[in-house]
Amino acid sequence: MTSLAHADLIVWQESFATGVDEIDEQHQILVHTLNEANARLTDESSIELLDAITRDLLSYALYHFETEERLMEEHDYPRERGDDAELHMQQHRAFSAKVVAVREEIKAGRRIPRDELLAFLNNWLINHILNTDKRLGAYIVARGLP
Amino acid sequence: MHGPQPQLPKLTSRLTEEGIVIEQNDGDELGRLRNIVSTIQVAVQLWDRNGRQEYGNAAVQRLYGDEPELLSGRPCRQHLLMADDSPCLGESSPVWQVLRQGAVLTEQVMRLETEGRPVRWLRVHAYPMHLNGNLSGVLTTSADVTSLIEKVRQLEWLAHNDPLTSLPNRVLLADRLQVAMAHSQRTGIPMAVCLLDLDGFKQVNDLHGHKVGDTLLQEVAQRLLAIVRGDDTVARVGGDEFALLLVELKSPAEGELVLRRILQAMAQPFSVAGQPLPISASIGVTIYPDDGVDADKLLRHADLAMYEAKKAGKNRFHFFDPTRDRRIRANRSAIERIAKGLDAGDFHLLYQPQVNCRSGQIIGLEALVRWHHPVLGKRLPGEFLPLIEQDDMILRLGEWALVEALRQIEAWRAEGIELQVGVNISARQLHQGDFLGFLQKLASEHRPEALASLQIEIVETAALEDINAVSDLITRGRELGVRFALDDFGTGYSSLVHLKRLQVDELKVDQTFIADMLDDAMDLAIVEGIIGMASAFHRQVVAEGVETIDQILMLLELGCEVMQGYGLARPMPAEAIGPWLARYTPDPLWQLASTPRPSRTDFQLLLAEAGHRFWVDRVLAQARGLGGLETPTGDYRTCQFGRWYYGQGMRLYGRSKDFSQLEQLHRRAHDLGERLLASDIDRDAAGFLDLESRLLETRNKLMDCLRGMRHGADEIAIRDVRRTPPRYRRKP
Repeated sequence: MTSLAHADLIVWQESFATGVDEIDEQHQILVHTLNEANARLTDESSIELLDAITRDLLSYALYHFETEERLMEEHDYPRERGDDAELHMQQHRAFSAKVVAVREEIKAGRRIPRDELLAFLNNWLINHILNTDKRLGAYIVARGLP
Repeated sequence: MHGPQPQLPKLTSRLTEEGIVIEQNDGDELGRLRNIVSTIQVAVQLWDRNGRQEYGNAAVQRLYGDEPELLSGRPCRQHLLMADDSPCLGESSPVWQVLRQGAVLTEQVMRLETEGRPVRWLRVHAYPMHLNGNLSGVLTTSADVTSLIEKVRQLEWLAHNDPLTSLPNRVLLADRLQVAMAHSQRTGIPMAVCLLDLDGFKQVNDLHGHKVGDTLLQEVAQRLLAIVRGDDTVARVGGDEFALLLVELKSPAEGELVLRRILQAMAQPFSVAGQPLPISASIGVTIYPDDGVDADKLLRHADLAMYEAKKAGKNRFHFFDPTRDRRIRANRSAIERIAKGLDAGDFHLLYQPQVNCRSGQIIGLEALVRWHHPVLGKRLPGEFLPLIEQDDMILRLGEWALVEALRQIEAWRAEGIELQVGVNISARQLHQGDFLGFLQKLASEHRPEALASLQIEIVETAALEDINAVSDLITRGRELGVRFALDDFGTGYSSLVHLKRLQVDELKVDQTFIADMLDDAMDLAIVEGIIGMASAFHRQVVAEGVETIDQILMLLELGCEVMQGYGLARPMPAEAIGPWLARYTPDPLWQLASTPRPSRTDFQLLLAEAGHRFWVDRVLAQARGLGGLETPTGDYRTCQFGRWYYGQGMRLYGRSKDFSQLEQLHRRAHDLGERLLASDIDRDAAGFLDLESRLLETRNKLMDCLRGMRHGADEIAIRDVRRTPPRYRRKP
């Protein structure tokens, strides 16, 4: 059976929840990706594994950011909370740009060290989900979910 | 009761094999009927308004023995049960129901339990009888339908059970699963849906025959039933596949305990007909409602997990991971999103000019795909191409890009713009589809001049995946007039042999090398090498991702004239190309590389800096015993920096204070380098590392000094954006 006995695995907890189910479900996917990277990635891992993980991250960026930005639009977030919305979308673009950059580096023969990639994902999880996304979630919940 | 009392008739007719034999005809119609009724096997009874039998034919005794009034609900030794299993007593009896309601009661299937006899099934009809408009009594018929019912029940059992093991089959499992899911949802207590497949069962069948295999399956079923708890279900769902529903799992440990016991029980050797049969089991498990899908999907998920258990080495259980599954489906949805975007016309081509920086001439354009995402705005290919690279979606996108580029080429030609247009084609397109066939189709639909303006750009690593096929494709494609380029050159093996076989027209130097060549001597060496290869094989070379004037000057100096990048022109929509061409004037700075004006000195300093850095890198590599780089020159006068310093440098900067400091630093670097090469890291690590760091420190001082001179004295301010190159702003 699959028991990933690793000290640093992130266990989803209620404090991560934004209150918007659709967003929370997708956040669990990022936690899953992070945990997988944590469990499987080493500095000697194959390029294929790094390629697969970063591709998953690009994929995540595509559907997850669409979900969030569609919700923002539907709930008038950019008009009601201009600065928050601006910052939020900036963080989305920066995430994609960073992943693309990591892939470019890999292509040129410079693979990102395991810890650097994990630190990036961890920071993203903490800064973005626990701050930026929760602000959006609270806003949507306060307006009343559709 | 009014009217004639029915009398028990004399037995004057018999039922024989030929049918009813009437031995005596009473002469009247009623008598004849009575005679006939008395013989048939259906029990016919007449009841009065008090529920007492008035008449019963011979079959009544055969069916009910000495208790003919069972049908009117009289308490008896035998038990008669209604269709719903309730006892047929008093008011609920068929006779009394008819007496109370006055309506016909038909097709009552009843069960008769008689001590010492197998259960019998009866089909009962009861009719009210009216005389002169008044209810006068009841007629009942009772037929023994035991054999029919048992056949039906047998069929029903077979429809829900597996005859070999008597376990529930798929149909009954589906029922039980529905019930268990509803229960779990009501109580909030999870349940496990498991699929168990025997490991090594096929070998048992092959070695010992099906009979032994069947017996083994029966024993497996028995062992499973012995382990699971009362409300759990064990079903046989395939040859050697069983499903288990473990309900009311108060904790994950409870489920795992049962599963571990099952594994142990399966791994205990079985013995059939004296044959020891070693098998084991692989079990896939999914937990409801954590995995909150419908019954079919639960079974499918358990099945997927079972395959994982097999893959992981058998004799184990594996839990389905709903988040992983969601992740896979979400990834799939991203690909579908791209397909939808292509259908909706959300993809566009932008065109980025390629310029010959020596002549100032525009050579061509590279077509770059952009996705105008309805929510996320303009997305760059680096964000979405990787998602479809391994999917057939990339073929659709590639074909769309070629058709669109050719359409644009023809539109431009009509306006008098004749430029070569490069289109990127993926590895999958080259290796999977009938790409040559597609090119031939394009050739038949477009004018030859248009096709001659088309250049297909293949990433070097993709070409190497199957060099024979790609080499053939290039040869045949060029016969159609199409040009070919190797893109991202330098990221593959970049071998001379490959280049000889791939008859491409152009090599495009990957932009990561261009971005770093001014900082990283190794990258500079790669760029130099590629330019050399291109020249040796008479192929055009194009540098991609050129962003700064320094890069342009350096490339010109190295002999690469055609360039593309933000530093020259950004990608633009097709309609902007015409106006851009009309406005375009070459940057006079490019002339720096080929004119002896004083400002050219700036470029000299740049080259000197790169030269020294490369020298230090080689010394460090050699000292550490790393191969791959040529041996550095020891003499401080004949190294690249030395030649510049004592030659042109001396003439231009000889009087400056910084310049004499340069000599000091340079000679110190050579001195340290020499000592480093003579020292041995194994014998004196501390000394070695000390020399290393002092050499690097000296190098840095020398570079700072050169940079100071560049920033200080020049008439032409060359933008030094080198330190902040947007390195990753890859192929827009």
